[in-house]
Amino acid sequence: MYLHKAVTKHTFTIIKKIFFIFFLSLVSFSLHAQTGLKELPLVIGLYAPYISQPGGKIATYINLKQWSKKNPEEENAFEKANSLYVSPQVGAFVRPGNHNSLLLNADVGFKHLKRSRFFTAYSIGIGYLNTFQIISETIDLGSGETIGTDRERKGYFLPTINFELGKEAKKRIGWYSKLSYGRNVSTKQENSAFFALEFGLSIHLKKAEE
Amino acid sequence: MSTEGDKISRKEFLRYCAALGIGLPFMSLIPGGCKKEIISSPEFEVNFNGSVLIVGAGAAGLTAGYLLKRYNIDFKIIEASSVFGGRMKRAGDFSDFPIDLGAEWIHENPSILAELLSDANISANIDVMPYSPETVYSYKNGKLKKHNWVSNFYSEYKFKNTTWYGFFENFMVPHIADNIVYNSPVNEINYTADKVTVKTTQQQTFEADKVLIALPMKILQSNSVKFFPELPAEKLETINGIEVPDGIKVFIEFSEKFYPDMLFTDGIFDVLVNGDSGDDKLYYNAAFRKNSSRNILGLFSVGNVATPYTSLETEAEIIAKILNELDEIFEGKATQTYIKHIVQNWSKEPYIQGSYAISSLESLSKTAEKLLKPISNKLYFAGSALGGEDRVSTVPGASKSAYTAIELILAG
Repeated sequence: MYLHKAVTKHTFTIIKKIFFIFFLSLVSFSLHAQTGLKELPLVIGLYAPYISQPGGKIATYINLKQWSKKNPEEENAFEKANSLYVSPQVGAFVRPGNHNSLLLNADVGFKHLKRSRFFTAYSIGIGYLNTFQIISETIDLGSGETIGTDRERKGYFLPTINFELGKEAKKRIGWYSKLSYGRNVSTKQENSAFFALEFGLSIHLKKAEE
Repeated sequence: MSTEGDKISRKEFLRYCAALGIGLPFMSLIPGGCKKEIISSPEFEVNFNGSVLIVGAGAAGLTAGYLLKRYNIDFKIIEASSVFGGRMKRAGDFSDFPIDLGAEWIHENPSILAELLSDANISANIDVMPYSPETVYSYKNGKLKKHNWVSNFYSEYKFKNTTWYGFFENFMVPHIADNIVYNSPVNEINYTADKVTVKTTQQQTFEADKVLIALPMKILQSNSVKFFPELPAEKLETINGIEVPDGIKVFIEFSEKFYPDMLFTDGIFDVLVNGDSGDDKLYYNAAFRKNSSRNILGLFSVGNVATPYTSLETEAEIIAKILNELDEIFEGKATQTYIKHIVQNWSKEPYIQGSYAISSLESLSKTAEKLLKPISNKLYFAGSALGGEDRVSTVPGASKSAYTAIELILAG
């Protein structure tokens, strides 16, 4: 009865929004339970929404399906490989003097990997953005210091389309760069365009297979 | 660039946006302000114990008096109008929050407020807020377009519960109120003798050892104040080379908020490209984050784009023109929901006659340097036009120019 009331009164509570994103992530994790988490790359990147708001992101990539075309001339070498993947992500960024934000996101995408280990990837993301906006500051007129800050929380859904370019790890460390474009969607305020630049490293805790 | 973190002025935002690049994420982390700096009282070298006349009770004149009081120097501020403030003006009763009819934005890290007071013994706080609009529209060629993403690149501090006028009223004027002479427009300054004599249109005569001229540039350019001897040619050339265009602010209360937080009546990219032209026209949500239940739309316009409003004869004509413009943009909602308005036509203010300095023959820094130079150790200058490249035409710029002028006066 409580659940019914919550659904009819509010579209989503904040807890349900978080669960939605992590549900997607947990589904993808469970599909690969047999391979173990050590198989998954740890992706750490610099994340800059609007190219001017510095932050960071931690993610991983979970292959749902992978297929490759082998090089007939060389044993154990592939010409190219494609994969469908899910990438759960957690990010945070700041607009100094204005807001701090936390992003929970999951991308579903297609990756094309060449023999040179360079890859491109195209994905669709669905995320939830929590922004803690400064709405006032109290200044001590004796010292000039900010002695108090009031913040207001705002939540947005953040659907994005993404393009990635990078190089897979030969042994342990690869790199990537990523462009994202999407929209901040909210029922409480007007939507706005979103774009971000990201670049970082993917680290394999277990040596990557060639 | 006068930034603190990524907080920038409106003019700088227009240049900043055009230069998006990979370095921007890191620029916002560069500490640009003095958030944690302890403000200390200025320590000027004092080789002067005579008297000073300050002409003009705007931001520069009031700051000058505030500093002279601290150094126990005898002074008087001679103000033409019946109120202090100059281009800082407040409408206290128009809405449920005070409205700045003149200077409004802080333009810098708000620690500047403590710096202007420079008194570590003050036991007072002030609330400020980042004006970071959530909705940004543009209207051009009959099309209303949304650019809400722009809000991620623009934010400026404003006072939360008070105004620039209120800041000076509460923290500076109480120290110097007895030294201000009102309703005394100055029409002559004679510095031929040892003492400087200042005469007013009210037939008053004041005498002092030094005079600080803190008048709006338009008034100096109008020759309504006669100098004996005449000001040096270089000084006159610098004064006359400063462009001070028309300026107007209008606030309208509506029964419904049909407008965005910021509305440019030009294409957004035209605004970016022409941002430094000196022409500024902006409709903005004046009640943004003011804890107000009212819907107050402000119009701020300076430059050639202001003249179609400032040149109109009556307030009724001005408001009719604005409502007509808004009706075109918002399909008649302005007239339908109009409640009341207030107009501040700075071009028609008798002792202001314009907005603020937007350009000069040389760089603004060079202009400030030339104007700040005293004449015969008796005439000194201060004002917003002397704020230099980063602070020109701002209240902090005007105040800081007064600091420079007072330092020169006290040095003898």
